[in-house]
Amino acid sequence: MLRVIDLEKSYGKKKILDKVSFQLNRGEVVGLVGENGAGKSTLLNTLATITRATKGTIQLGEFVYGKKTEDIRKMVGFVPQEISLWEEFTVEQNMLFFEKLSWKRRTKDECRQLCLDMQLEQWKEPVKSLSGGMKRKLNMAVSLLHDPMLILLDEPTVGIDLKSKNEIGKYLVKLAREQGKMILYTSHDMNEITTFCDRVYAIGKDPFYIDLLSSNGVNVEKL
Amino acid sequence: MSGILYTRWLRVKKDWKSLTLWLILPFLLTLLTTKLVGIWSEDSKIPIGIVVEEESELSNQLIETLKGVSYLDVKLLNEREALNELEKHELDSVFVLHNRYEEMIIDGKRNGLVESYSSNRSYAHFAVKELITSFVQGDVSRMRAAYEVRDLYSEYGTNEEWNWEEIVEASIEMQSSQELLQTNFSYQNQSVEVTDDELLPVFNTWGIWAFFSLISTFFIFDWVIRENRPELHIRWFFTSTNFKKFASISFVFYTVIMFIVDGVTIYLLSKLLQQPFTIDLWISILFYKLAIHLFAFLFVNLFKQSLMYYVSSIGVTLVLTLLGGAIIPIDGLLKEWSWVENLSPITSLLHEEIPYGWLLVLMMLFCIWYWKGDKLRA
Repeated sequence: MLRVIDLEKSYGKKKILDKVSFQLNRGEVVGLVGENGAGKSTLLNTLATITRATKGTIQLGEFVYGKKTEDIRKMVGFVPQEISLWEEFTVEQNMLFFEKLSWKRRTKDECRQLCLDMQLEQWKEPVKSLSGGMKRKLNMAVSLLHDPMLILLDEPTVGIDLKSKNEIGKYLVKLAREQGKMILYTSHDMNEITTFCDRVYAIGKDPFYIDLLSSNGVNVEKL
Repeated sequence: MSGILYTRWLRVKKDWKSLTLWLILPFLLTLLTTKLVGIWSEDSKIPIGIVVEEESELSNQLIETLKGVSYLDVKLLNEREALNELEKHELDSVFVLHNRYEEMIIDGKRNGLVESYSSNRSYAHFAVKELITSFVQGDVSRMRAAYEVRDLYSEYGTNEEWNWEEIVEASIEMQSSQELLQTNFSYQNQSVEVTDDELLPVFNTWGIWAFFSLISTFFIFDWVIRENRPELHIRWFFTSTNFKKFASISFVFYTVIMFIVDGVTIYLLSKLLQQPFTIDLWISILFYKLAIHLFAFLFVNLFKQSLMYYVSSIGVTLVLTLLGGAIIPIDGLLKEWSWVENLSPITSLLHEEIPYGWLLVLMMLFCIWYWKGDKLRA
């Protein structure tokens, strides 16, 4: 379980996150929305241990953030907004490169299967010749190599065609339902969010919370 | 460790063409430069023709002496050929050793021994004429001395048979052993330190190699910029190794590859260019390379853009090569200010020494770089 309590993050005097609290249970897919500059990426970076929170508590399983950072990172898979790949390598070389540096050993077939799960079939293609959408799929596959428990995705489906978007969404839901992964992702596509997410958190000036699985369909609650 | 080595294998497989080029470039460019300098110095020699009308021991001795002059290209021709080439300006000047050359010298005659020809384009005729005159005068004086000795023998009534050749040889030996042409001077009551140090030649093969090797090392180490791209920083948070450990092992990997290639390069250069090769030279080359690898590795970490790095590394290479005395000899400077030798590791290489100062400082900087933690840690 991921538990965030009164999280605050400031850059100098500018407060980006102000008393954010929520909980993410195993097997859940949660969407994170908010206007530009609301702090979605900052929240994900903080949860991914890339930046340090100014105040508040974050707990992932038995680990409290601030201690045993490497153990926390082993449990976190972060899909960044920008493409973080070796453009000059092929899809295969990228997967093998990061697999060799990963905490978890995977066979070449497993690496390939991970790409196929992301609807990426161009195994021998150089990354530089792939479309933007294909690169995003590989970006996601690389982040999942070490089989993380908490998967944080920062606008992962930008530039991906509708069919692939649906397939990836279904795959993420499957990961959550079958393997108990916790998935938190940001998107500006509300249709995508409402289709695949169990709950939605909105952060920013007017934070709110929607439980999409509630009996009456949509339950909006002011935070 | 094995994972990092596998990633290196992937990288080398991808970049093998450029890596191979940069690895063998110091060998090729050193060979080319040395050969070109050799051809250029041959071309810049003064061509002179020597005509020997009657071959004798003294005429042969004079020719051998002239052939030993580094800036003369001596051709032995007959008079007709020689004058023909002079008219075509293929020769700067022509010198004719007349019949009875040896006989006249033995008789102590100074005039009419050699006849010289020049053209309106002879630029070195006067200087070469003076040089040949001095050699001939030396022979004449030596002969005169030998005859003086003979006269003394007969004056004092010694019946021993005197050997003319022995006296001449003894005089040549004395001339070289007493270093008549190279003497250390000092003021009265002041001691001067006399050293046996040989001055380094202007074009030293290992100096040229050191220059090209430094450039190629800088260009090979650009992998640090390519693998430390900002967009990939994020990945290093979620790998079993951090970037510094990855970069350090990669540094060792590339250093080993370069050591192997450099070993072969040094062996081939010493064979092809007939360079003297000693264990001291091996050791100094090994430590020189270690120093420049550390330097290039730390230097490249200061840059984020390849172009800026390439431009700066070329500048640094030129400065270190100049300060190291690989292009312009700095022995004079070193005698005056000995600390200058610490400014470049190339100086140590050229003197077959280990650059202790450089290695010590670079290793300390490497440790500081390694132990300075990552900035981004939550």
